[in-house]
Amino acid sequence: MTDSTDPNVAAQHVRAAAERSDDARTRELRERVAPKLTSLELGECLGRGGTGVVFRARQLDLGTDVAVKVIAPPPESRSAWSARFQREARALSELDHPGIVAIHGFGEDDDLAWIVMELVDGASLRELMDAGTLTPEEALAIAPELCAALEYAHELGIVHRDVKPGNVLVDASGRVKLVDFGIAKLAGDEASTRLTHTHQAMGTLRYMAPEQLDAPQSVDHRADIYALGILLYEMLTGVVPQGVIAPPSKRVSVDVRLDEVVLRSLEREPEQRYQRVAELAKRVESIRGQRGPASDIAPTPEEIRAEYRAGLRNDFALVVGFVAVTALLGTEFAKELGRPTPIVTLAAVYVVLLSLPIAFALFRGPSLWPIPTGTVRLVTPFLMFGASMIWGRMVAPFAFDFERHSNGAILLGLTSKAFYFFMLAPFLTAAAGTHVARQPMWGPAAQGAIRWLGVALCAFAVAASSPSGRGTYSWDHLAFLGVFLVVGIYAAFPRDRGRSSLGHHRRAIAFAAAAILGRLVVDFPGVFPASSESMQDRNAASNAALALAILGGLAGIGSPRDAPDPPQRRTR
Amino acid sequence: MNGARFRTTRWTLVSSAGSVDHGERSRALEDLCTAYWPPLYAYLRRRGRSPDEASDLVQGLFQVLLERDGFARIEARIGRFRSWLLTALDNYERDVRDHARADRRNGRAPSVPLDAVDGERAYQVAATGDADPVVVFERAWVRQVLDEARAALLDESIAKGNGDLFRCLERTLDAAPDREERAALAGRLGLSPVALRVAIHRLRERYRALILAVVRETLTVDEDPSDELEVLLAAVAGESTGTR
Repeated sequence: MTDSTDPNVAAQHVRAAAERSDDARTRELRERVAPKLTSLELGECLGRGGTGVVFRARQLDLGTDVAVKVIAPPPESRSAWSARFQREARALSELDHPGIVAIHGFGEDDDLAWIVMELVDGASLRELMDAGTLTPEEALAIAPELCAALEYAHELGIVHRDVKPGNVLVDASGRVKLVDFGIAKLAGDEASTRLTHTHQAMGTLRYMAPEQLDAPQSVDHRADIYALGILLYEMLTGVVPQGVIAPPSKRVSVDVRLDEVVLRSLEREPEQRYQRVAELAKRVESIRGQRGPASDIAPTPEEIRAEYRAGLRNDFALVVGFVAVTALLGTEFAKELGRPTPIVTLAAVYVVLLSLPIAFALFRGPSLWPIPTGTVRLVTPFLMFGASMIWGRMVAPFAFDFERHSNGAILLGLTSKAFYFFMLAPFLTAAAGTHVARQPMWGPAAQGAIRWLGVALCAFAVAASSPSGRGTYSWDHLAFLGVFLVVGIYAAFPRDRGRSSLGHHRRAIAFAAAAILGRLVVDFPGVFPASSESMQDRNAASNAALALAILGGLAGIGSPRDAPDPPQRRTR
Repeated sequence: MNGARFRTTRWTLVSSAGSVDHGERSRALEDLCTAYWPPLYAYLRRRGRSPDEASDLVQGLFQVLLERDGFARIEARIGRFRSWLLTALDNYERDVRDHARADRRNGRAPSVPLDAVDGERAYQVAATGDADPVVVFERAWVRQVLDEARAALLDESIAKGNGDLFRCLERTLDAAPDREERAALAGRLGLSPVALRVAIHRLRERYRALILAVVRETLTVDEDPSDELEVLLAAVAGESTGTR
């Protein structure tokens, strides 16, 4: 036997042992309740809370152990309390689920109330977390079971209202059991609404949804989803989020996709959260399932680097491919048109096609491969931009030049400096947008502002490309401007208040495709005569098309790579 | 629960004079003495006694106590066992000095087998800094309580068929295992990581419940164990902060 000679360890054990011994209140409750529960032999105290004391007890007839929660009702408004207790206990006894502690019986007399329930020989999540932060793997093993239990209760219209680590028990085999639907109310029960009003905000403060603090009487099952979000956050990071909520992946090494799950559960507005526990559970299961239950979901540095390299390779291939195709197409157009200034067409087509990878960079994040860290996500678009500039310069040396007509009009529509600027603008916007989307402290308003900034920059690009030589806008230019305006407004008002869904990805692709198509139509031989005016129109159209493609990308800002499930309305 | 009740009446049995059969009472006292002699030894050593003198005195005290009327002769007021035992030792020491005798030389076999190595170890562990003899006694007492509880935990685990579990997890009582250690333990025991955490927690909780039970058996029925635990806690807490 090893003797614990370390005084700190010894002191810790002695202190804990002292806390186990009955305090005055427990002793008093024990003495008062023992004569009332003649079929039970009371054992040690298992826990003391604000609402009551829990004892281990043996059922003398069956020889099995149970837990007894003993509650001393408040002396005032006793009949109301009694009604609430009866309802609470009945609600709990309705629940029959392996993830919920079963109630065997309950009773009450003049000065005491008690609930006899299933004994869970294990530990509470509070105790497990106090002994050391859980690994993400452990957290993700616990979460789905908890979700299943809560979903079951919600199906029956019962809201827990006090989901917190102390109320989540884990048995010896690691199975989760939710306990203490202590302030549960039966949804739709008028009396309960009235009654709990006097016991407003009874859940534990730190795990409470904002609406539970503001208007406890109107709380529904989504308050439990909020508490679940806090719990998940705490299980992953070891701390309870307060104030500005940093995504879990900022604190510890966890899958970034969990950020979205947690933050969405913690939305201030219940409408913004997951609407059902099942949705949340599905997301957690899918994240967990992809790496298998046995492996830790947090990627190793080597995995991050490997994914990063794979991402760079894909980006590079994308850029090279598009630039090559562009150069080829441009040359073909120039031949077909047989004009003295093939550079113009070449450059225009190049610009339009380059917008496709831009759009990709914007809506897809940095690469086609998921990359788990924020830094990489920000850096890659810039790398990609630089690579495409250099490559474009090598393949089509004239692409970035402009041509001045003899009458002074700028044929390409933009000076080279302006061109560079406007090429850079969407990237800066995208970088800002990505940053903002990854930092929820900015909120939807900042994301909106960034989008509008992108829209404004694009509008400026289009306006700057107006046919200065002629002084008036041609119909096609105006049409493009009109389409741009519509698309701009659409992009600036995304659905889900800043949260992109799968629709945004498709939208972004569609915009980019439309931009290219538009440019090809304008360029189609015979649509416009080969004059300097039509060339100006063509150039204007090119810029407008570029703007469209950029907008397509902007619409995808902040899209997580895995689109969240579209919110579902409650069926009830 | 079942374990928390075990042997809770030992000191009560000893101290409730008259109502209990002498043999039973004597056996209970012998058990207690066997368990708690090292603190007495450490106390005497701290007071400057040589290892031999300390052994002789403890041995002599136990012989007197286990005699038919020895218990009464010691003249210590019955309270909690720890205080009573220390007072008994002081009284016996005075008695020996006054009468210039040592019961050991009566030629009787020692009634309680003492291993001076254990006593010395208890002394070394408890006699840190310049703590006075009573504090050394209390510190050694805490170690004895912890050892008793751990022995009870082992017995209980084996009785429940969890001997292997106990041997694997015993180390976690002294230091929380790190991640690698937990992974290794989970693998060895065939438990999920969460189930392993629960097992560690349960063992720890059980250990603490047994500490409480062990302390309780050195008290009379109407004494509050938390008071005694407070005293013991103060003894070890001072050790870790101040006098080291």
